[in-house]
Amino acid sequence: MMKKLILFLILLISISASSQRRKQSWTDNVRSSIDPHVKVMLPLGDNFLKDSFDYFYGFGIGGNLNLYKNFGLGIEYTYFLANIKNGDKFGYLGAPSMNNFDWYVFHKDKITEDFFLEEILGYSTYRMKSPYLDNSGKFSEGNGGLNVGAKAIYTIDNEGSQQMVFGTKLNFYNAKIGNQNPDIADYYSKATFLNFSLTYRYNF
Amino acid sequence: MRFPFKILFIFCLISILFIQCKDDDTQIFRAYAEGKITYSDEKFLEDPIHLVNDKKIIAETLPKESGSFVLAGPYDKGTYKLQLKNFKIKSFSTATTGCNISKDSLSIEIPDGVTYIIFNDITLK
Repeated sequence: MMKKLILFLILLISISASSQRRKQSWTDNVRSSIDPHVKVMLPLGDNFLKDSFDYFYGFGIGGNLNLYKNFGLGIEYTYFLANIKNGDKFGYLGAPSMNNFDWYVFHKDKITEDFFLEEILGYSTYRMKSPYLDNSGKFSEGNGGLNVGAKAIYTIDNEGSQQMVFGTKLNFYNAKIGNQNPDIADYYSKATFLNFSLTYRYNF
Repeated sequence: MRFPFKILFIFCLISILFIQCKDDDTQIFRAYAEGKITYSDEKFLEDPIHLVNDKKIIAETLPKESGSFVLAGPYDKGTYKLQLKNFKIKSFSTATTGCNISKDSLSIEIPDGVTYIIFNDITLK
C-alpha cells in the first residue's frame, strides 16, 4: 500500500514537473506587439456600399501575440469614416462612422533578417452608424464576416523592436437588412471590402 | 512573460463580449421604390422625391430627366408613402395592390409590409 502511494506521488511530481518545464519553454517564445495603424477600405462588387461611398478611411490600434512557433493571434480595432457619394439608395442619412474589429490567426514567414510576411485569416465585426438627417438619432447596421489577407513587415531599427507593416486584406461584410426582393436584401446585406493598412509596430 | 498573457486575457474577454452582443438586431429593412414619372413642367425636376414613414423622411432623390427615379431608406414597420413636393399625382400603375393616392394628391400611400415597389408609370395633373 505504502509502495503504491509513493509510486503514485513520484508519478504525480514527475508529470507536474515535466508539464511545468514544457510550459516554460512554450512561454519563452511568446512575443507580443502593439500596432497603431491607418486604413483605407474600398467597397467592391454590386452593393449599396459601392454605390453610396467611394471609400472608408480610418485609424485604430491592434495587437499581436506570437504564441507558438510562427503562429499567433491578433486583433485590430479601427474607427472608419466615409463621405456619401450618392445617397439615393442609402437613405435620408448623413455620413456614417463605423466601428470595426478584426480577430485573426496569423502565420509568419521570415524572408530575410529584417523582412517578414504574415498570412492572415480571421473574423470581423462591423457596426456602421449613420445619423438620420432629421436629428432623430442614428441608424445602425452591419454584422460580421471573414477576413483574409497578408502583411509585409520591415524592421526599421537594429534591435528589431520597431517595424513598419504594409497590409492588404479582403473583408467580407454581412448585415441583416430585409427586403421582399431577395436581390435587394443581398444588395444591402452582402459586400466585400478591399482593405489597405499602414502600421507602426512595436514589439515587446 | 506575464504581460502577453494579460493581453490574451483581455483578448478573450472582449471576444466573449462581442459574441454576446452580436445578435441584438431586430429585423430591419430598406424600403425600396423605383419608377417613372410622366411630367410636362420642367420645374418638376428641381424638387426632391421622398419616402415618408410616420412623418419622417427615410429616403430622398431627385428625378432624372427621363422622369425615372429610384430611392430607398431604412424602415422597420408601418405604412409609408412616396411623396412629391409641389406636383399633384393624377394616376399611377403598379403590380403591388393596396396603394392609394392621398387626399392632397401629393403622395401615394404604400401599405405596411411592402418593402419593394415598382411604379411603371406615375402621371401628374
